[in-house]
Amino acid sequence: MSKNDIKVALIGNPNTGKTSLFNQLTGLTQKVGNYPGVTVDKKEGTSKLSATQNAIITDLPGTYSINPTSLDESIVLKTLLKKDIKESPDVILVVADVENLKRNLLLFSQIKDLEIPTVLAINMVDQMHRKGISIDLSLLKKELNTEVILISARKNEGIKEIKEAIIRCHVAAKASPLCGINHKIDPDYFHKLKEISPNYTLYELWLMVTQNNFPETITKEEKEKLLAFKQDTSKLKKYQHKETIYRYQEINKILNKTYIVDKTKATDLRGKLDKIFTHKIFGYVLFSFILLVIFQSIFDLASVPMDFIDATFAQISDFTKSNLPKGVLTDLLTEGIIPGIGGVIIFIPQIAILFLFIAILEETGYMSRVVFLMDKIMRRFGMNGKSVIPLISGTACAIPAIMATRTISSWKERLITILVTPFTTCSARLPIYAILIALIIPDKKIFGFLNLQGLVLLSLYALGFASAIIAAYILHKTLKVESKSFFVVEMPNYKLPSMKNVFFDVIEKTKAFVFGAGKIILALSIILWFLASNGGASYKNVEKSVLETAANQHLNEDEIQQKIASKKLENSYIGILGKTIEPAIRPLGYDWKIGIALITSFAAREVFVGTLATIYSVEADDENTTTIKQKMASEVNETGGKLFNFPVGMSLMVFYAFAMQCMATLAIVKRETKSWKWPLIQLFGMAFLAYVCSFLTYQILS
Amino acid sequence: MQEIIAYILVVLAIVFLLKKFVFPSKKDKGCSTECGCH
Repeated sequence: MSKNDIKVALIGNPNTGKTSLFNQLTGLTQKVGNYPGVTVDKKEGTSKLSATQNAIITDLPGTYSINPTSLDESIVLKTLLKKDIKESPDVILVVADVENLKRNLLLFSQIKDLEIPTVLAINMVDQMHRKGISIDLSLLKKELNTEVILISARKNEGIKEIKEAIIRCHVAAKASPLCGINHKIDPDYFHKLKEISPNYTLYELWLMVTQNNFPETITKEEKEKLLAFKQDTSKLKKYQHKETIYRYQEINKILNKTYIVDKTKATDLRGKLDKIFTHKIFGYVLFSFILLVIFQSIFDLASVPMDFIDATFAQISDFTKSNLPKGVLTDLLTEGIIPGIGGVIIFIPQIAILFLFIAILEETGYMSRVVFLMDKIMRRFGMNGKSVIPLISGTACAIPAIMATRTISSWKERLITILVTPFTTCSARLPIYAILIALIIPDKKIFGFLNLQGLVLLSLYALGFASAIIAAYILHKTLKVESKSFFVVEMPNYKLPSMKNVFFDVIEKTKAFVFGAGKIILALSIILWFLASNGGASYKNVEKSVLETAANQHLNEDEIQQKIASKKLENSYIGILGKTIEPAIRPLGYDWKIGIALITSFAAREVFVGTLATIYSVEADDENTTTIKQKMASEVNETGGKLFNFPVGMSLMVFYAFAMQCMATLAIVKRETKSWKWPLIQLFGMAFLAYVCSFLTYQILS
Repeated sequence: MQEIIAYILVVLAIVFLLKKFVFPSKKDKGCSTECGCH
């Protein structure tokens, strides 16, 4: 960052298109969504305003006012009260939605009173005509005494004008308050407040008192004087109430002169769609139908590319084996790295299809209707409608989902949502479910059109969601945490999905899965190969002892080689580890090789398939079983039957549905709850539940 | 030669996993909403 760069903070109500504008200004591809709460942390990017002038743009979480009610909103207040020359913004860019200008201007009026140079960007103006809205722009500029620009961030309209306005605003560097609360409420009281510090504006001091949020730069003496103002709490509440009334009076006066809505010109498609999507019966039926279509598609559309990827990796492994000189590195490549990486890449089609559907639902504005629809159910279980966003985001990854709980203002509801979100079926579980379903559920249609495998997958997602809300209910009844609760959700307009946003969203999430998981799986595959290809004294004597017994059993050359490979694996370091834990997992139907995959997947669930692929590659030397699926299908148990039979497959899926097999999630829960207590409760509680449920599943089914 | 490269890769893999899970850097902890921390 150069000294001359202008620091611009992007602020606005939730779902006004701040992140879309941020992406247009910076050329970055941060996630955008047509629902509130996408941005829960601040993000930075650089924008070239002119040939000689750059700006550092900070995208802040959406907030209805600078009186925060949740953790993400408090980030905005903290940023605005900073007096650090390196961090405090030079210009504030307030983004407002053209359709909800009155409510959006409340936040604008507060920011204007902080006396920081401000530009107002009125977004989504491409909707104005359809909504029958007209704005007298020059009069609005005059009344608000600020730069006002009409933009459409989605269509890249007005971006050049925004950049020019930021430069003009920064050069002028003058800002005057809009409402001047002191004169209208109690001049003497506010005069005394202003006398406390010349370094802060009156409204900044007022916010410190009302929000109990003191910047680091304030002196001890000033803070003590400000705290004295907090003693009369009833007066504070009364003045805060009056402040809001005065602000709305001022906004109404301005909008009456400058903003006209002609209802006769407006088309009300939104109202009609809302009636269907939020209907107390049809709303749920439609949501269930959409979920059914998604999970059917995951299996139907992904099977061809998945088979292609699986076969390609098998060919790469064969090619490498036959073209490289024999040796340890060749073994590492063909038995460790290639099967391990194949275990990640194969799931790209399914993950991309899931993210594609979720991105389309978010983009169209349907997701907010789901939030509204689910609020009634969520409340019964101790959460609120906003908990649906983390639970749905959790289908990608629990980490951003847990961070998205910052929008929930009640601490108890937020804590419950954090604790139950890992039950939601994340993308890391999808590979495990997909491979096990393919092994144990026949690929047939019910009623001629419903894919049975897709239905089982949908049931597993439903199981994850049901577990989350049942766990929430238990926590709601048992947790002794007092907190107030309310629910406000923005209902965005319906939009045709922007293919660009959908494309970037799918690419970004798939990339995050492949590279995030891929690096760990690659490293683990290498270590696993080492542990499976080396061992103690018994490992070194395997060949000799097998050859001795083979002579008595009249085995052919292929059978002898297979037996040597199998015995070597059993006596390797990893074999010894697996055998040690086998007694504990035997009641669940698992052998020691599955046990190894359970241990390695403690770090991250998606490692499970890659681990099995590596173990079976080290062991198998059969040219007919080259793909991961074939290798797993050909594994036999002690009785000579298929190892991955129906009871074992179901038991494993139930285990992964409940177990907290993700270290990164534990770390984020610790960070969000600021304690090790909650992640440890989560870890042991979920592990216990997983063990008991998979034990019961196996014992009942076998 | 093959052995040397293979064992260097094993050491690098161990170092990577230790850095990722046992001694994570501050940057790893501060992931944003799209961190892809798997």
